[in-house]
Order: sequence, then C-alpha cells, then structure tokens
Amino acid sequence: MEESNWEPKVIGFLCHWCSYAGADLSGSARLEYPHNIRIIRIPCSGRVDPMFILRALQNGVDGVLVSGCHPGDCHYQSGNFHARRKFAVINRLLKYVGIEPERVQFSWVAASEGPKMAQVIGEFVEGVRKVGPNRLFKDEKKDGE
Amino acid sequence: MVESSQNENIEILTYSEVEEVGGYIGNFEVKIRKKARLVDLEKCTGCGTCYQKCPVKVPSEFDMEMGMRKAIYVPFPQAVPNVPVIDKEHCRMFTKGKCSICQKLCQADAIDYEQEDEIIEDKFGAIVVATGYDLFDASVYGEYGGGRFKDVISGLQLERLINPSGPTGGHIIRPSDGKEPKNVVFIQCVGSRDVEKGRPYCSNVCCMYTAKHAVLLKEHLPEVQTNIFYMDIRSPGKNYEQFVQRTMEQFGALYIRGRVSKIYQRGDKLIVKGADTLAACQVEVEADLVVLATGITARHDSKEVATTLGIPYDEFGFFTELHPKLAPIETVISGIFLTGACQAPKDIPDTVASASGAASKVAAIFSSDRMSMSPLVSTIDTSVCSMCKACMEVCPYSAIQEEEITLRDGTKKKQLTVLESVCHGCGACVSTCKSSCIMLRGMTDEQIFDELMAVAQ
Amino acid sequence: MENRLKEEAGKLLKEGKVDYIVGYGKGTVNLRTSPLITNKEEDLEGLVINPFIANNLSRYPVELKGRVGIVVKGCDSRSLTSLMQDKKVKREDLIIFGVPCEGVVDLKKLAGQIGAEIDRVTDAEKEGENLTLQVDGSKKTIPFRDVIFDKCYGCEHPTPLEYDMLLGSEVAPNLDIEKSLERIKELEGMDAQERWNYWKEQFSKCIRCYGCRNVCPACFCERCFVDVNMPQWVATYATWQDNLTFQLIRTLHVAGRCSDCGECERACPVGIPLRSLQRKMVEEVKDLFGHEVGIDKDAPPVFSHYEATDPDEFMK
Repeated sequence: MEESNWEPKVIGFLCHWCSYAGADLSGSARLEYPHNIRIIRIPCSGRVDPMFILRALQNGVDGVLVSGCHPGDCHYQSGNFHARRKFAVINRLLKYVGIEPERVQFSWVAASEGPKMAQVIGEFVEGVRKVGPNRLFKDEKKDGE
Repeated sequence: MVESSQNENIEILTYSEVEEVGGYIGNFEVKIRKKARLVDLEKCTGCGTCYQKCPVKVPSEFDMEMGMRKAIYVPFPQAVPNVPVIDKEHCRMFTKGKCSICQKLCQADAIDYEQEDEIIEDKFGAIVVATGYDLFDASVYGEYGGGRFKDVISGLQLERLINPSGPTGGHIIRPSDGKEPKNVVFIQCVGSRDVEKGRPYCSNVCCMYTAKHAVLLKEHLPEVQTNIFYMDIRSPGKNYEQFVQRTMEQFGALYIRGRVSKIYQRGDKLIVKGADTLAACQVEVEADLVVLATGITARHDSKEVATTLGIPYDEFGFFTELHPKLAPIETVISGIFLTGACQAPKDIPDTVASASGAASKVAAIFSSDRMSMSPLVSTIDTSVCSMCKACMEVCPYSAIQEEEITLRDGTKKKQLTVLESVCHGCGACVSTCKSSCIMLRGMTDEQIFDELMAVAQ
Repeated sequence: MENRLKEEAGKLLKEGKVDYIVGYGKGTVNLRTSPLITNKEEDLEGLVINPFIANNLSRYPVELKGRVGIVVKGCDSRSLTSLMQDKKVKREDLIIFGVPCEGVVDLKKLAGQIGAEIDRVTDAEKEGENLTLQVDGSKKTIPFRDVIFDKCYGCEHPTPLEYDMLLGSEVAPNLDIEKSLERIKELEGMDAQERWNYWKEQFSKCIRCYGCRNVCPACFCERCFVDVNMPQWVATYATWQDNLTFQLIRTLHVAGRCSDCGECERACPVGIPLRSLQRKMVEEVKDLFGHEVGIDKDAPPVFSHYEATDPDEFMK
C-alpha cells in the first residue's frame, strides 16, 4: 500500500460477553466507529495469550486492542482479573523493548457501553494513526528492494 | 412445610448451615453443620411442657421483639419440625450453670445439654439457593425517629400485631400504651428507591403489602383512618391494580403522593409532617401509629454464602443469575439454582414461580441419564503437560482435577483432566498454560491463529 | 565448608535419606566448576565450594526421581522455592545445603582483567576483598568486586532463604542495586526507536540454540511453546523477528519465576544481554504486584492468582 493513503489496520480481541456485545450495541445504536478495526471474538479477556498480540504485531498489524469486562463483572468470575495481571506485565515489557505504547491497548467495556466501545476504538485508531505504520518487524533490506 | 416434611423424598435439615461445597453438577460434595439444638429430635414429642415452664424470657425474634419467648423455644407456631431449641446465650444452664427445669420436666428425656454440632457430608445432584432476605433496618432514617418512637413500627411488626397467634392475639394496639389506634400513617419506600441510603432499587413488595395492611386495619378497626404516603404506586401484577383501587375506594385509604420530612411526638400523638406533591402543599397528620413500609435487603451473610457456593453476587449482596432474561434461575455454576428473594426482591407469586422453575430445572437434571453440555470446553494433552497445575489454580470452576491412571506396564501416573460437565469454556487455563497443552475446543490457538493471519493480511 | 559438605552429604547417602547429591565439582577447564550429580559416596570427594560456582543447580531435582540433597546459593535457593510454588519439586523431597554467597566470579570479566585466557590461570583464592591468582606461574591480585557477575551487585538475598543446613555464616545483602541495573537504566534512557533497534541488533545474533531456555530453572515445561507446530507461533529457523518474539514470550513466561540468577545470559554463546530483559521483569513484577520471587514457598505463583486491587491505571 502506498504510504500516502495508508490506513491503520488494527485488531480487536473482544470478549464475547461484554466488549463484543458493546461493539454490537454501538452498531445497533447507529454509532460510528472507524472501520480500521478487525474484531476477533474471544470467550473472555482471560483467553488472550500474549502470543496473539506479538504475532499480530509481527505480522504487520498496526495496533492491537484487547477489551474485556470491567473488573468484578467477568462472566466467568475471575478471567479478567487474571488477564489484567498478564496485561500489566505485557504492557511494561513491550514498552521496554521499544514498541510504541499506542500500538497495544487494553480496555474494560461493558455490554451496555456501546458509546464507550465506539469511543475506545475511535481513540485507539487515532493513536495508531499518529505513530504511523508498523514497521517494527520489517527487514530494512527487503523494504529497499 | 408440613407437607414437604411428610414427603419421603424430602429431608429437611433445620438449624443447619452449609459449610463447604465442592464437586460439580450431579456430584456436589456438601459439608453441612447440623447445629446442636440441645434437644433430641427423635425423642421429643413436641408436647411443649419445656417452653411453658422455662423461667427465662427473651424478646421474640419472630414477633419482631414485640412479644416474649423462652430460652427453650419453638421459633414460630407452625415450625417444622415441632421441636424446640435451647438458646445457649440465655438459658440459665449456660449463663448460671444451674436450672435444668426443662430436663426434669421432659417426659421423653429429650433434653441433652451436652449435645454437640454434627457434621454431615453427603453428595447432592443439584443445589437450590433459597436463603431469602433481611428486612431493611429503618433506624437509619433519623426523620422517622431513628427507632426512638415506640409507635413507629415496621410493616412486619404490624403483620405480627394483626396475626391471631401474634403477641397481642390479633388485637391491633399501640405498642406504647396498648390503645387502639384511630389514625394510622403508612410511609412507603423506606429503604427502597433511596440512593442516599444505598438502596436505589425498588423492593417490589411494599406497595402491595401496604395496601393489604390498610385493608386489614380497616377490617379489624372499622373506625380507623389510614393515610399512605407514597412515591408511585407500583402494582403491575395480576389484579394488583384493582386491589389498590379497592383499598382506596372501598376501604377508604387516603393515598398522599409525597415524602414525609419529619415525625415528632406531641402528647401521645405522633405528628407526621410531609408534602402532598399532587396538591402542592404541606400536610401534617396527627397519627396514633406510623407504619414504615421497610424494604428488602440481601441477607447480612449473603456474601459468605456466595463464596461458599462460588456464585457471584451484585453490589447489594443479591445473588446474580446467569442471564437476567434468558436464564433467571440458573447461576454461573451449573447445577446451582436461585429462587426467591435471595436473587432480588420478589413477591410471593414470583417466588413461587421461580421456586417451581428451580424445582423443574432440578427435576430435568435428575430425570435424564445423560446431560447435554456445551462442547466448547477445554481438553488437556497429558502427554506434554508438565503438571505445574497453573491451569487448576486459575480455573474459576475447579473443573480441572488430578487423577491417577495405571499405565500398561502397571505403573501409576498422575495427570490432570478436565471435568467437561463443569468447564464453562472461558479459556483462562489455555492462556495460562505456557506449553499450550490445554486447549479450548471451538476457540483453539489454531483457530485464533488462523483468524489472526486472515485479518492481518 | 567443603569438608563439612562432603561429610554431611556422605551421611545422607549412607543413611539413605537422599537418593542423589547435586553439587558442584571441578570443571575440565581451570577455575570452572560443573554440576556434580551422583548417587555414589565415593564421588563426593569431588565436591567443591568456591567463588566460581556459577551454575544454578535448582533445575536438576525436577528431573531426578527421588530425594535429592542439593547445594544452593542465595539466588538458586529462590529459584528452587519458585519451583516449589510451581509444584515441580516438593520441599520434603529435598535436603538443602545453603551456601552464603559473597558473589560469583564472572570468568569473562576475569579474563578481561588479567588480559589473558582463563586456562592460563592455574590457581585462584579469595583472600578478604581480593582474589589472588596464579597466572603463568606468577602471582596476581585483583579486587574481588571487580570480577563478580553484574547480578551479584544488587543481590538482596545472598544467603539462601530456604535451607536445612547452612554452610558458613550469613552474608549481608549486596546493595549496589544501581550498578546491577546500569545496563537497564542505559536502555531506558534511549528513545523507543533506539531501544527497538538495539534489541533487533542483539537478536540478529541469536542462533536459536535454546541454551537460555535449557539452562533456565523457570523453563520447566515438558514442551516449549516454540516446539508447538499447530499453530506455529514462532518459526523454527532463526530470523531476528522470530528470535525476538521467542525471547519476549519466554520472558513473559518466566516473569514472576525468574530470580535473576543470570544463567540465560551466561549460557548465551553469542552474548545477548538477556539479563537486561529478565532483570527488568523482576523489577516490574515487584513494582506491579509486590511479588518477590522465591520468598514464600507456600504462596501461589504470581500469575495463578490476582488481587482485586491490582494496578489498573493502564487500562482504558
């Protein structure tokens, strides 16, 4: 894709019980959010393996959003609490190795929060747009070819 | 209760507490503490001599402390089993170390001061939670006297006064001086729909029980005038609205839309000051008796019960159903069901309906030899599992258990296994397993990986 | 110290209290030590304790069947405790010989200091604050603190926390944490792009020998995630992208288990500063969850439980 008309491509891992439903709700409420997000439905934010995030970035995705239920609201009681521990560490590690913090975002969005989901996606995509295309895992030599 | 106590398939354990719940649907392992009532259930004939002769009097909890009971007592007249219990806190055998009047008089030799708690451990196929509610404590309302006025009573206290087996034998009198009230004020929404008191929800039953009280009062004391301060009348049940209308038209209840700002004593009267928002004016009623329509709150120990059972609860302590519309009786733990006001404020028809629902849910489990479950559960590849058991620790349902198998050469090996009937398919174990040897069917790493690759294109 | 160890270890084997002794023996190259794992009493004569006992032996009891008598330094003892938390070893199956540790000599640093190959050093002895060496027949004295591993500078628990028998007396913590974190601070001072380029360069060297994984006591999985091929998260051949992804995931897997023993970095044949990743995560886990690795053997592993009050501010 030409650099000039580049559009961010981001992946959203959304929990089936809250954020996925929230995205659904924002749709049925006719709220608009950027079409740049591709949503992968997961049963619970606790299902998210750090591998998903790294693999997505390695494959050239510009940003990864992970969203689950508010703490205490997990459909499976504690999945989001376990997830939060993992996310906290992933967040710090990715930042430490030099991945722009704008590229990976975690959020809590309930099924009833359609407007919030639209807002979170909107802000996230804008943040990714600012840091530009993900060239982290690109090989310089190959790019020159 | 009598009917169910006589059903041979029903065993009632009263004065008992569930201490531990393990296992899963069809195989719950429950530890129950059967507390020592100090009266032998088998020997007692229920003759009542013990509590007639017991010298210690204690305010009766069942009569809302308006009447007295003895230190050995049957909690309420229709209690099942009709066997008394000794209240250790007040019984003279325990406070002073002597008395034993009941023991001497008991012809069945049923009194046993040495009796100890009994622990019952058994397996059960399903659990129905019906722990009920607590009445809101209206003393937090300073404007209604904060519990200082004897003649400001709760709806449940009035209920006891009306009851023929109540502390007054069914005579409705003022607790302060025993006179019959002429002018009665009811205040609705006490501890309901009040954000400031931490009770933003509607208690569901108070509008109707207040209307019922107004009717009963009028029937008992035809001279009485009832005044009801209300916020809105909520009467959406079958025939409920007609009942409220009859309360007004036929039984002369005066409904005043507005809140009460203050109650104070003047002579032997209670002056109730409030607003009539429909007439847009202040009102002042000289009342003999004030009845507060106290709302429903969760049981004080509901959170401990929830923790024991492993079921979630909301910010008010009511247990949370699996889905508010589509699964109002089920909980997140399959095999544990909710009924009645432990879930949310409910009136009698709703409670009976949810109880029947829970009973049918249980019957459905028990009537079939096989259960259909969601196939989207975890499985373990035991050949690569390194037994760190992290999955066991993160599983909110204890669905992963250790088992011992015998290999072909006769040696024994411990391994982990997923109880498919217990697993809910959340996948927390999958992301916790560092070596990917546990997998969530329908949501495998491979499937997500492929999705990822497709959308990353 | 050595003699007491030999004596006690001998007793344990003789009385059948343990099936194996895991300790340090003399290595094939001068100064180096290597793990000595035996069930024979006569082998115990080879046991040594000196400032060169670099290996973290805590991973061996995981693979040995039976009861084990093991020699551990401060950092190793915390790895061992972490393995207990992960149910890989049972405390009752172990007899732990604790070695209070004043620091372990980094042979690479030593070689740099004396400007010669290590095999030319025939003898070395710690005398007070100094290390006295025989190099090519002549005596040489260098300050001990100049040649110990970076990890040793910030060592908060040089005396093992969990032991049955302490060989020697307790050693005070070595609290030059700044010096131990020097490289991390340097990295943190760079901007994101520089950091990324730094790691990119480092992992371009990686040959995927998996030495870091194989030596790590926290890497106890029967099957490593890199060996999973359905799906193939990480390519099996060495590209810097996959090397980096592999190491980042490994870092996350051992976070909360890593006691900063530094074995990964010591094992790396191409000299990738892996401790700069692992040690950083030790700090982060402590900062986020107040969890220090290998302190409480009865506590659940840090990612197997949670607190409702865990940090939340990074969430939207």
